[in-house]
Amino acid sequence: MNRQPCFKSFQASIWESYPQLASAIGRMQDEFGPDWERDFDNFIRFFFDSQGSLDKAIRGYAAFALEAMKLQHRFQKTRRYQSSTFRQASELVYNDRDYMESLYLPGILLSHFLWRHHFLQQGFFDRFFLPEIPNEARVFCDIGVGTGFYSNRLLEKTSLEGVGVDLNPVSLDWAKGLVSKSGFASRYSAVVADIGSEDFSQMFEVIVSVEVLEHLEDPLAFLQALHLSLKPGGIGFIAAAVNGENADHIYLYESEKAVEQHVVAAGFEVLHSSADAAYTPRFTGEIVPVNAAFVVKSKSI
Amino acid sequence: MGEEDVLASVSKIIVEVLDEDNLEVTRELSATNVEAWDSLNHIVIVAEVEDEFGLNFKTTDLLNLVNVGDFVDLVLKELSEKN
Repeated sequence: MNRQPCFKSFQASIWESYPQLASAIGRMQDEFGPDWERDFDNFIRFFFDSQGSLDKAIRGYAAFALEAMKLQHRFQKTRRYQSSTFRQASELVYNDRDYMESLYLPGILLSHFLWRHHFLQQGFFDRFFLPEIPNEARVFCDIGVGTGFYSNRLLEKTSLEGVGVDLNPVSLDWAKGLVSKSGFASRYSAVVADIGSEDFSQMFEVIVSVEVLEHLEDPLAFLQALHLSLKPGGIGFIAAAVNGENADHIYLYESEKAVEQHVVAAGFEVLHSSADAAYTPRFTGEIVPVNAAFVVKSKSI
Repeated sequence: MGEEDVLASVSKIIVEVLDEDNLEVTRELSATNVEAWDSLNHIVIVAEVEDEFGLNFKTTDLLNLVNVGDFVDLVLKELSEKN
C-alpha cells in the first residue's frame, strides 16, 4: 500500500528505523507547538510523492545528522574544522553526486524542520527580511542555493522572479525540482556561475545567501562580490554557521560577531540580526552550533 | 576479545553516558527503551566506544544499528578486520 506521506508517517518511520534521532521531534514539538507540526506536515505532504521517497530522505537525513554530530563531537576537542580547503570539501561532498543526492541534500532539506536553529532561521527570514523587500523589486538572486529551500520560500511568499546561482549543478537540479513541485518553475531559472568571477556582472534588487560563507576559503571576498551584485536600495539576507562542524565546512566563524564584521567590511549595513543555537548546552564549555543571520542593505545608498 | 567482554565494555559506556546506574544493558536494548538516549548522547556513546576500542565507524554502518547487540557485533567485526 502506498500511503500518503505525512508528519505521522514520518514520525513512525524515524522511530522505527532511527530511534536515537527521533527525540528531536519531541523537542521541536515542546518548543514550537502545533504550528511546527502543521508546517512540517504540509511540507512533507507537498514535497514527497510517496512514503518510499520520504523514507529515502529520512535515511539521508539520519546519515547527515549522525555525521554532523560526530564531527561536532570531535570539534569540541580540536576546536578546528576537519576540512580547510575547498578542494577537500569538494572531494568529500560536492564531487560525489550519489553522496549529494542520497545524503547531503535530503539531510539539509529535512534539517530545516528538525534542527532548532534552522527552523528559527525560517521565522527570522519571514518576519524581518520579507517585509523589507522593496515594493518595486522584481527579481531576486539566491547565491549558493543548497536545496533551493529559500528560493522556493521567496517564490511562495512574494511575486518576485528568481535566479538560483551555484557552482554545483546537482544543487541547482535539486533547487529546480523543488521549485517545480511548488508550481513556480516559470518564475525561476538556475545557472552555474561564480559571482566572484569577472564574467558575473549582474545586479539584483534582492539577494539571498544562506549558509554559504562557512563553505569558502575566503568568505570576505565572496561577501564583497555579493555586495557588488546588490543594486543600490536593494536588500539582502545573509546567514552563516558559527562553530558548526560539517564535512564541507572550511571557514570557522567562532562568533556571530565575527560574521557581522565580515558582512559590514564587505560594504553592507545590517538592519536586523539573529543568532540561534542548535540546542541548549549540556555542560559548561560545550560549543553549540549557532546560525547567524542578517538582513542587510547596501551602505552605498 | 570475545563478545561478552565487548558487551561489558559497551554496557559500561552506555550506563555512564546516559547516567543511568540501574539500567540493565542487554543485546536487545535500544534507544527506543531509554528516554535519555537521544541523538546527542548517542554520538557520545559512539565516540566513547570508538576511543575504547581504537576504531572509527563508518556512518553507513552506524545507520544500520538497531540495538546494543548490533553495536557489539559491529565492534567485533571491526576488531577482527583490524587484526
